Amino acid sequence: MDVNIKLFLPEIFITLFAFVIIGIDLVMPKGSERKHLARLGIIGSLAAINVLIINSGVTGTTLFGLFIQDGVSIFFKVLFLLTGIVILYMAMLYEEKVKNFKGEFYALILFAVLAMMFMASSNDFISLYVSLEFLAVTLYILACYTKEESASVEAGLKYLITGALASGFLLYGITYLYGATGSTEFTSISRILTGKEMSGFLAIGLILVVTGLTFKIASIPFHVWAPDVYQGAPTPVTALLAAGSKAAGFVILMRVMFTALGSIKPQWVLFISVISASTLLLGNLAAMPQKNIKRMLAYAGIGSAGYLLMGIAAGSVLGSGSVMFYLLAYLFAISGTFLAIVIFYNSEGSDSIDAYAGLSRRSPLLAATLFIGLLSLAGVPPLGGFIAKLYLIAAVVKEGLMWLAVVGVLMAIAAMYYFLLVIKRVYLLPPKVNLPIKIGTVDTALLYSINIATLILGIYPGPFTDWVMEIAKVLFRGN
Amino acid sequence: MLLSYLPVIIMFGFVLFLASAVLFVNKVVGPKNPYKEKLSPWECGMEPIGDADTGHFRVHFFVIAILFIVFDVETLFLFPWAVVLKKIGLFAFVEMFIFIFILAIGLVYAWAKGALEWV
Amino acid sequence: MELIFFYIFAIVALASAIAVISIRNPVHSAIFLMVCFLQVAALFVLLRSPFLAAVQIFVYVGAVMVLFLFAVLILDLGRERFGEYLHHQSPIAIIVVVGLIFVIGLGLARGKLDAPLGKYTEAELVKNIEVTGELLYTKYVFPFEVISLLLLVAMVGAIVLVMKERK
Repeated sequence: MDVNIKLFLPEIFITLFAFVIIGIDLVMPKGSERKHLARLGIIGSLAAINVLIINSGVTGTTLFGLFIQDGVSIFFKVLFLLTGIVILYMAMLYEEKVKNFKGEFYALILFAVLAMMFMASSNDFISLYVSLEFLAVTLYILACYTKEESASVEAGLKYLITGALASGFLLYGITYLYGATGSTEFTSISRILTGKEMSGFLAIGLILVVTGLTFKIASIPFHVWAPDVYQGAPTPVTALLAAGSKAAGFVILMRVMFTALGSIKPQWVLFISVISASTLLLGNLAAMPQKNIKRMLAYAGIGSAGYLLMGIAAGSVLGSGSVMFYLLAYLFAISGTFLAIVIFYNSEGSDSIDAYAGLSRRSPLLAATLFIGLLSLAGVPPLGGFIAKLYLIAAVVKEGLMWLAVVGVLMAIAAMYYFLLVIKRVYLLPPKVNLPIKIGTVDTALLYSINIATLILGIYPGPFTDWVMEIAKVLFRGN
Repeated sequence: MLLSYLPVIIMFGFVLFLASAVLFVNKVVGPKNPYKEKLSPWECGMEPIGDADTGHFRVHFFVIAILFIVFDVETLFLFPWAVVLKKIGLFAFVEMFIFIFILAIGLVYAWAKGALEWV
Repeated sequence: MELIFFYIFAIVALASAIAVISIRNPVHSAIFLMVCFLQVAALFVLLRSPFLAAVQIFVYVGAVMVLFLFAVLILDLGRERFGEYLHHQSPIAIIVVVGLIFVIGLGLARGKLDAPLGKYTEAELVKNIEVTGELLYTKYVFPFEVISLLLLVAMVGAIVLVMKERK
């Protein structure tokens, strides 16, 4: 039987750690602190990263071709595990807000990371759909975890309803693609489609599949859930949605568009470009008037999905490499920003942008983290986000999509405007109360390392960009 | 192959006919003299309080229903497995063992959290 | 003959699906949903996969409906009415749906299936459950195991979201 356990060893590690967390939680005294469980989860994720790096030379497909381990999946799995570590740490800081079932909160975060890893390894529409639903169910639960708050319940419900609709679109689209090609496996779909004309079935399948996947990446037309869910969900879950779930959406979008449907690229470029441009416009313009920082980041996240879609529209090695680099830079910017938001919330109990006034005088480190994180999201040199946006714009220019590049540049300026509004409050306005905000030693170390990572990606991006471009070639090997 | 479903469709038609016929005949022939007490639902001889649809159902029903679905789905996977077990052999046995083991963790969890108790 | 049955089942399925979303009484729409599921089960029989038909009745008509009815009964439906929460969205919804139907119809009218139609013969499909089982427990082992994790998470989620932790 076709089982090569080395290829999915990290997944087994994470599964076992999640089980152990649930098990230990059952025997721990009721109502006590559960922070050790989060530490256990972090250890598990580190172990899984270790296993991934040790076995990074072992690639190929297993489990009858439904599971693939290649450079792209290894890159994304490391990305997801890093996200998981930061989110687990954030959840630890957030633990007091979770009234009931604290242990399961950590286990579910680990399960979400596991689901994303499965998505990164999907080589078939069936495994893609099942792992996508696995992630979705986990996130539905996590979004309304603080069920005592009506905002959190509202977030979970809205996420569930739009998610169910989107997954209907996706599944319906998959049936059309299956009808048009007679296969669900990405590589064999690509083989069947080579040299074929676009048929009606294929077109419907493509439109429906892409529409269904826009839910995960929060772009038009399934973007409406993002603001309410980002605002209402517990902050660690919001960060998981922003950094992890979006990256997971893009890895499958890349596999579907490049590996499976790469041979009919001329037919879908315009479609993706239009989605990208409209998402860019909507996300960045709607972010401007926001008063709540999580809500503003939701719209900024929609804008980011627009940028990332530029890389998909480019449909080249450069485009997909830039998508990966953007997601790497995005992970550090988002995790730094959200960590600062959690620490600030624990001290002040507010997420409103006005409350951030004068933060630089109360906690220079938090202010600097927000400064670096938000400006990296905005794409200001010399930070990671700038290089990422530059590469994406270069990728679409190279493919001759000048108008899309122009929209991208204009919206980068718009993004700078609303992020600078926050920075202005943090640095220039006087604080209402002048008490310093206490930050623990581990928090400080983590914030420093995240900020340094963002700076390194911006100042010395060479090795990283070479690395992602090399990895991205795997996606186009089929054609 | 489809012909073997003929009895099902005949049965279905017969049921449909019988049910509507019974309702129709009842409506036409049956005597009617309704009054208030006769129309009110019978509740152990007590005066009924409130409406039935105002949601005085325990939320615990919901947990039981979810657990039921989960194990229902598990049972479904056992049917084709039982048919092909001999043909595929050890591989099928091991994978079903893993499947049931994972769901057994869920069962232990539900048990320990008191989801199966009715108090 | 088969085609006639297909149209009967398909039309009843569509009509009951429309009834599900347009009827105000949630218990009635749940019953219509059951009708819809039964028709889909009949369509599976026409597609020569009786196992899926059995699954459809087993899971959807049996279990999911139990869940729906409980959910419906737990909600305080005496006073709540769904219509009040729709903020004049129906015109937009109708436009979107008509647009979607138009696009799909256009694609269907212009498209043709050039993939081979099913590699199994009628004789092989008599052993439908064996065919399903063999594929499910060899080729599709990865999604199969992921489903067990999904069910576990669903179970944990139901308990976490519905119950109160015992002190």
